[in-house]
Amino acid sequence: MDSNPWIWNTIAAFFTIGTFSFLYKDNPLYKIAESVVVGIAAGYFAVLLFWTSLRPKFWDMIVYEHKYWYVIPGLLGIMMYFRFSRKWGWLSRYPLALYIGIGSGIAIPLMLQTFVLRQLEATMLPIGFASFEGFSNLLVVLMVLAGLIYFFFSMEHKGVVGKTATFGIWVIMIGFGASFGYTVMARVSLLIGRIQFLLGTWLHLVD
Amino acid sequence: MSIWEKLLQIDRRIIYLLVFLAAIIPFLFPAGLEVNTTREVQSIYDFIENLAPGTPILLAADYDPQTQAENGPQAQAVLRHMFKKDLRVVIMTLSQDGAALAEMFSNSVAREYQKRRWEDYTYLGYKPYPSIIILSLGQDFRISYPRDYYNRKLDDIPMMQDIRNLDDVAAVIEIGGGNVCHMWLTYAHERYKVPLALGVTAVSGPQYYPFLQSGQLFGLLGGLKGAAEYETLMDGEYTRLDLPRKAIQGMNVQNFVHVLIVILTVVGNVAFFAIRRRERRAS
Repeated sequence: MDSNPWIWNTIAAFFTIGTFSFLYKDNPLYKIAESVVVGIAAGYFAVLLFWTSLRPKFWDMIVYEHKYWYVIPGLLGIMMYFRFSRKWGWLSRYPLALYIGIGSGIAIPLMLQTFVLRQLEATMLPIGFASFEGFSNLLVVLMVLAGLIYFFFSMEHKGVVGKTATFGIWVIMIGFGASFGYTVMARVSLLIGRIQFLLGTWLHLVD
Repeated sequence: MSIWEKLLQIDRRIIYLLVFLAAIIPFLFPAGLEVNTTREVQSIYDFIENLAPGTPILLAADYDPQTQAENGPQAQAVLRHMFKKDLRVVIMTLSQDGAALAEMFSNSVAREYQKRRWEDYTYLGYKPYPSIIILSLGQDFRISYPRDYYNRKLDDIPMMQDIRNLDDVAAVIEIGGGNVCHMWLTYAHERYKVPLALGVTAVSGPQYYPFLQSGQLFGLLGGLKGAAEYETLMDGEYTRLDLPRKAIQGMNVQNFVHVLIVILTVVGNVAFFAIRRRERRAS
């Protein structure tokens, strides 16, 4: 194969334009681009997994480093495939149980610490009106409480609770608005990336 | 049919064409708008700027071609800064489609600064199962990465001699989109207390601001804007090396597309309310 980058860039440009052509309407060019992406991604991942996981962490360990206990996880891995058999499917539950047990044991305490306790701690802030930071902290506390009250359904949303819940939904909507704005920016960035490639890397019309 | 009704029934392909034109024209006729830096980007810059030459640092380039447009310029700007400061950079990826991308950008930036592989930087490559890999890095890099991407033993790599685990790196700068950022937060920062900063896609940006406020992150690059801010902070280097400021160029284009989207949103809403008002009057 020619190593001239222009040829590779032209192939990439062909698939970029092919993918964008879907915006006009579905067509064979788009179908080709879609199938090639799916096929290459699946093949690439299978080969990558073999060379980065199965070969060094299983085969090499047993054959070259003589660490024979690596056969045990290998067998557990094979047992996973018994899911495809009705008769022997129960065997797959053992590796799965081990996997879920270890995964949960590691993940649950750390997740709780990262996403709940540390975040709770971060809302316990010095509040006040004397400085911008104090006022900002006050807003954080009020908005967190209002947002939580909106999701508190054990009391009817009437009176003070109702008004706080309404404030809570406004706060949540502001959050969604910011997320949507960022999402638009992200999607436009992807378009810009491809145009940079087409006009710059491929056609050399811009830097 | 009134003009408002015609506007609401406009073919979506015309809108695509308008967005496409709004994205192409500023490339050909750049406006040169400025990008202001924010505190969360400045803090990453300051952190790296204050490190002594030779300090080890870990750059996790966990992005793939889908988010290359946003994460690519972020990773390049940060790596240029690390090389400018003569840090020892360990680069790795937990994205299966990102292994070749990370290799390409790290070697290309290293060439700009005449950095030598294995002495100034090491590319470890890709390994599957991110959470397990991150946990193992806290014990020893050699558990998951006995060899680097080029199959050289970590024990034989000069710059890796005194780097055993996450305790030996000044910080982790994670550039990626999606769940892997959560994993770095949980399994690296919370478990091993290593200072962590993220470069994320704009879609993921808002969900990481609470972690900035809680002090779990010391900095955050959000999408192309974050990359453009870092390029602005590194402006001298980009001028010295005569490099294109891709993120700044992209943000200039972004502004025009955003103006178009705002105009279309306003026009769409005005048309919607005008029709509703007329229908109410008629009934």
